[in-house]
Amino acid sequence: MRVLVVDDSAVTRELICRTIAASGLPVTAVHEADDGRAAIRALATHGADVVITDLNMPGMGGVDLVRAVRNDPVLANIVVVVVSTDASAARRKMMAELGVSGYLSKPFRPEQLRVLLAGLVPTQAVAS
Amino acid sequence: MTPEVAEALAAAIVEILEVSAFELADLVEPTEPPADALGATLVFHGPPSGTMRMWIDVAEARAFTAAALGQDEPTPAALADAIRELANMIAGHVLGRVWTDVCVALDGAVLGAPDSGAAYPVQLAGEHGRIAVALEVTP
Repeated sequence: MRVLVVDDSAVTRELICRTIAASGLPVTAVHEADDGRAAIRALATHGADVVITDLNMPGMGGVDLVRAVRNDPVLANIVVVVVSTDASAARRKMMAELGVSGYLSKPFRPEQLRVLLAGLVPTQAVAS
Repeated sequence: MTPEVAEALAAAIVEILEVSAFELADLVEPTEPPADALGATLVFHGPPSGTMRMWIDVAEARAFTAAALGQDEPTPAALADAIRELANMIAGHVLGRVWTDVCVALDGAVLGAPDSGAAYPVQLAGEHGRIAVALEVTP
């Protein structure tokens, strides 16, 4: 399973990457990006089975990133999980309607992210 | 600032410190920021639109950053990054719970010295120092 972590905070990217490394999930590669545009470049270069993205980022934010992924036939089936400071029900509903598979509000416990990823990752992605 | 927002700010800080830094925090009487306190300001756009201001003691900021990174000595860049993220978490937590039916956009937090003379009515003491916040909604 290849994971792309998208967040403008290097501290949060580090926290997510450490959580993934300690998760026991069959992760083969983790790449990082600090906004949506960098994420799209990383997807073109490295691919991913799962994108974990923040929403509020300078440049291209997470909402536009999710729209771009869902509108790209090559990327449309990637599992997207949001990890955001935005805790509103309205934002959760909006992101669910855009096809996001999971949503965690910051701060999150590492176990919450591990359980979320373990439950969302398709079998074929785990096998890749 | 309404009592509901003040209560939500305090609850946000308690939860964030507990989850991110394994710290307990308690409400304390407001005081002036120390000279070396680290400040952050964050503007949000809704409605509601407004500003959240925060200051944090250096020792508390270092402890929060170290816990998030799993490192004893965070770099200045990591410290700044963690303070911005802390401000984002507090604002997002409060706005999302008090105004849960609307999508509010947050600008990135801007670091700087705390506003001299400004009130920071919600203050909590963590294990290494204080976090003080104020959130005002534009009429």
